[in-house]
Amino acid sequence: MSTIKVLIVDDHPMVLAGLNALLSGVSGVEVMGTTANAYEAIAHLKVNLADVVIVDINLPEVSGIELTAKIKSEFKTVQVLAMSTFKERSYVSKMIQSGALGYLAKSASREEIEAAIISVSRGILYQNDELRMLDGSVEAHSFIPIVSRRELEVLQLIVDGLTNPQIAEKLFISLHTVDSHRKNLLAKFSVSNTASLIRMAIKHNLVEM
Amino acid sequence: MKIRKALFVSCFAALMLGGLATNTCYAQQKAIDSLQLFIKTTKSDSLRTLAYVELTYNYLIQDTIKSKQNLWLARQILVNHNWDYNWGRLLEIMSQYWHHLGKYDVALLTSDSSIRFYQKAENSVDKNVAKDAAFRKAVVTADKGGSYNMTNRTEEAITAFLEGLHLYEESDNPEADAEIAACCVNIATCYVSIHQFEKAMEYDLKAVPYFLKLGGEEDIAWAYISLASDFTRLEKFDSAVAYFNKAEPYVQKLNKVGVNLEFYGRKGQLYWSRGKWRETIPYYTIAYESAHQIHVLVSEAGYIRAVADCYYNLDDLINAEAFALRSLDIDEKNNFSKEKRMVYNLLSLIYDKKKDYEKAYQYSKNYVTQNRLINEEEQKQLVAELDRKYLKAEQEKEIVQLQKDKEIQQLSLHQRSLMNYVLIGSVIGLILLGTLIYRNFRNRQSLSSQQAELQAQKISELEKDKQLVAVDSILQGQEEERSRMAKDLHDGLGGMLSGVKLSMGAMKGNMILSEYNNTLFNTALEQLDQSIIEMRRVAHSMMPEALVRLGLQQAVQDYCEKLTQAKQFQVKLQSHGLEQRLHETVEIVIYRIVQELVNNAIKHADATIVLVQIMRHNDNLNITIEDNGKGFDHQSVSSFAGQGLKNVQDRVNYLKGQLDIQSIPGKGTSVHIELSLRNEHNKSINS
Repeated sequence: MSTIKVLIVDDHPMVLAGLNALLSGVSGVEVMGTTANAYEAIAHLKVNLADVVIVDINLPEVSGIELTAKIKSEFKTVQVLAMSTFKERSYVSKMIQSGALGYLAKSASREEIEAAIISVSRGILYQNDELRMLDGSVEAHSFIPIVSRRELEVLQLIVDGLTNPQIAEKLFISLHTVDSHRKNLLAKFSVSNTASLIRMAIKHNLVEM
Repeated sequence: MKIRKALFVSCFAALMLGGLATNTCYAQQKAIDSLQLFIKTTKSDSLRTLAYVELTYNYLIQDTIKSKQNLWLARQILVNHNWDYNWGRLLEIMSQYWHHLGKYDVALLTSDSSIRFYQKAENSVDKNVAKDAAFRKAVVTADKGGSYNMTNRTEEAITAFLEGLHLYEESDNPEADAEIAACCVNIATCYVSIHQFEKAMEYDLKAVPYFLKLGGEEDIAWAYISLASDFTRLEKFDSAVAYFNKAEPYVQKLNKVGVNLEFYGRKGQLYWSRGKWRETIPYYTIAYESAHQIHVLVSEAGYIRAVADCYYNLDDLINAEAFALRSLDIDEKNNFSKEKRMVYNLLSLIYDKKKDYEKAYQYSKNYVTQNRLINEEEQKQLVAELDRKYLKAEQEKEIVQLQKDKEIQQLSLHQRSLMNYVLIGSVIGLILLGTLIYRNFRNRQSLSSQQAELQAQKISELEKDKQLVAVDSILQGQEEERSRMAKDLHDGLGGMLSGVKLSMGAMKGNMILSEYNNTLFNTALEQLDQSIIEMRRVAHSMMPEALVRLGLQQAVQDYCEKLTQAKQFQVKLQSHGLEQRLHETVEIVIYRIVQELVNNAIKHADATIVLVQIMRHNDNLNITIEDNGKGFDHQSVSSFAGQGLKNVQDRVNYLKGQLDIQSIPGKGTSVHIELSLRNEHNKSINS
């Protein structure tokens, strides 16, 4: 079993030093270099191809997300393990979308880091809490759009056959606002005209006939 | 106008001359000459007519025909004009002319016409003319009294005099004082003739201060004598004596026959009425001697008869007879019928006392005859009165003629009035033009005031903008500060802590520690973890990294999901058209709005379901935050929630958006925000 060659990209020297120190104690992992930004990282990879690149999301100028995408497109064999101070779902999601196989918080333990590197180097998605967070949001996605109360009122009046000025008068709102609501509804139901909107509204049982 | 006024003055100077001229023929002739010269030289018809009128007045006594000629000359000019004052003056003098000719009724009617014209002239624009007309009106009114008096209509005379007096009293004409005094005397005379002596005394008394003021010694003497007579008639002898005493120095100083006649006659009467026959005789003696001197024969005869009467009462029948016969002689020569009757009566009494019954009977018969004659005379007078009334009717015809003249004049005036209409029309046109110009001016003024208002509005808008800019810059500064601090925390402290954590992790495997120390080491690691988490939380709340790095949609999504994770409430996100990032500042502001409103919904409204909706359609962006919380009454927004809403309002203002809050207590709150990304302000943010 060959050693896993690791490149660390982080603009923070303390992180670099700490991670370097930590990984040097892990057998089978060799830190082949540390770089402070995306340009240095690409330059380094061009000379010495690494197995795993640990990328900090928060890099100056070119972000970790963009760097990940770049690495994945230029160096097909190189795997990326994302690392960040943040644990926001959006970040995790973005990094995974860009091609990272794992996402680690910088506060991760030595054991976690070791496991993640091994997993990623093998081309396997490293499953941890951060990644599991992504799944939940997908199942929450439902097709029936959420309609606000005001929109529902407007929708009911549209179905009742009222024109925009009549609706505006009835709800004591401006014509412009009625138009916004109508546009919102069209966008939510992914329809292009009022007739389709009415059909969808009836289909989803949102209005009274 | 000034010239006219000057001429007016010169004309009145002539009038004054005329007035004074009555004293001497020479002066009067001079006045007539100057008036005629004036007529030739003046260019003003108005003044010419007045001069003619003055001439009429001046000729009145010496030459009635010339007087009338001038009157007609004046009238001929006036027929073509509507000069009220001149007409008044003409008719006034005409009235005097008729009065002078003894046609008192015509005079009265003419006076009335004159008064009407003066009344019109009183409304004249020219103050001097108006004042003068008022004074002339008083003169004519008083003249009417004279005419009434001459026709024995005493009560009407008194009314006219009183009215004249009233008018004079209102006038500030310097001549008024003399006229007031004259009026009072006239009124008193009238009252005497109707035996209202109390009233007579009242008016005589009223005249005194005016006479004293005017200073005419003869007038003062007359006034005192009149008053003394009044008191005599009222049988207030002490007062009568007092006034006689007051009169006496003037009488003696003047030593005028007429005055003497009146003074001594009246004083005699005082004693006579008290039955003091002996004291009466010397006064009556001076009186009849004075009367003789000035040929007032009726008075002479009367006083002689009165002396006879005194002697008769003193039983001095010889003297009585002599004086009575002397009186009778004068009466018979001059046919003083009433006086004769009284002398006959007296003589019959004297002879009766003398027991000369034949003569007594004779005179008694004479008395009866005379009495009958007088009655017949009175009868005749009555007939004459009727005759006069007939004449009056005739004269009224003349008045009608006059009025016809006036109509002719008015006809010619009618033509003139056509001209006047044209003039009035053009004046109205001018006024209209003026009004239009004025209105135009006003409009322009109001326009400029509107502009000023607009400017003020603009200023206030600018100030509001300035305030907004201030709020904006605070907002922006705040966000920048937060962003910077969050970045510092993340990159600086975060990096360091992570580094420490990693270093410690590296140490862990390479050290051999006692169990106790190992526990301590792990605790330290955990505490470090907690520190990092805490730091991350603080940094995140300051500025979500996702917002800056990944955009609004991601940041809001993270926010909603993080809240939902707690499972106590559900925060649903609905977004559309946010794939393209907005300007960073706009995104931050929107994020803060969402944060604030969602926070309000969860913390203050106890909502369990919150809908966050951010929809973008081209350049329009609308945000809806809806909850199922308890809602609130607009009036009773709690201060905390109120502050939150104020922050939201500030931020919406910053984005130049429209905020609409719908809240029904118990049914939740719905906040709708509309904003344009094309907005100048947001563009400038974008640039």
